[in-house]
Amino acid sequence: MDLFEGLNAQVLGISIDHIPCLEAWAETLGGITYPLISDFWPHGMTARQYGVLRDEGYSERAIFIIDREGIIRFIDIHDIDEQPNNDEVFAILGQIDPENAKKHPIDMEALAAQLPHGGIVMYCNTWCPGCRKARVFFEANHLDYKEVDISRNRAAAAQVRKWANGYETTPTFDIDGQILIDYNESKLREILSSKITK
Amino acid sequence: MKLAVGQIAPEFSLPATGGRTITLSQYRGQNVVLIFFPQAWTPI
Repeated sequence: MDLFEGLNAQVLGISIDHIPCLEAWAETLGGITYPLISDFWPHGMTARQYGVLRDEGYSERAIFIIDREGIIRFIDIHDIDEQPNNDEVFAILGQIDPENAKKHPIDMEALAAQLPHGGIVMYCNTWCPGCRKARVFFEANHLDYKEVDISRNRAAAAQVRKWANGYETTPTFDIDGQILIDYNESKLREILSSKITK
Repeated sequence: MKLAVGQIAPEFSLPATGGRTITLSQYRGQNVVLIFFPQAWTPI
């Protein structure tokens, strides 16, 4: 939760736990400065309304950014084990609130420097059909690869635009520095011929 | 039911730590980062 210190926004944590549990937990964390909200009764009702209640009775790990007018501006439902990326939250808050952006300028160069290099890196998003095909291809050929979701990483989107003539084409591959725009199985086979076991 | 960006955030009024009751609409005029986490004692 410390991750969110310094954001010019009200941070609210919410879970299906009951209040004594949340109080005890907040205490062990050394006192959380943000309210932790109990969605215990009616059980998970708010999580359900936000579409993040799991069948097991607890919620997904998810972030909603709600603007001054009460409109949802960003939704991120992430893997239960994955930590949210604070840069993304800052970036969205910057977009919807320019004053906040001035206080927390996004360092695009620093973000770009964090992009992975070496091996197979696939710039993708969650919905593109070519990305799905590529995942199947890599798995069928036992190839390790990293994914960067360009819808969640502005530096990555900028990088893809640089490679793809201003378009955010997905998937775009960076394979040990060799750039391949769009999914093309025969070209992938060619580039990766030494790594594919027949 | 899944929510989408651009929709109005569903209102809630629930108990919170510190003996508070938190109502979403009380933050109208501020940006809110609402973080759902599965259970206490797991990292937020």
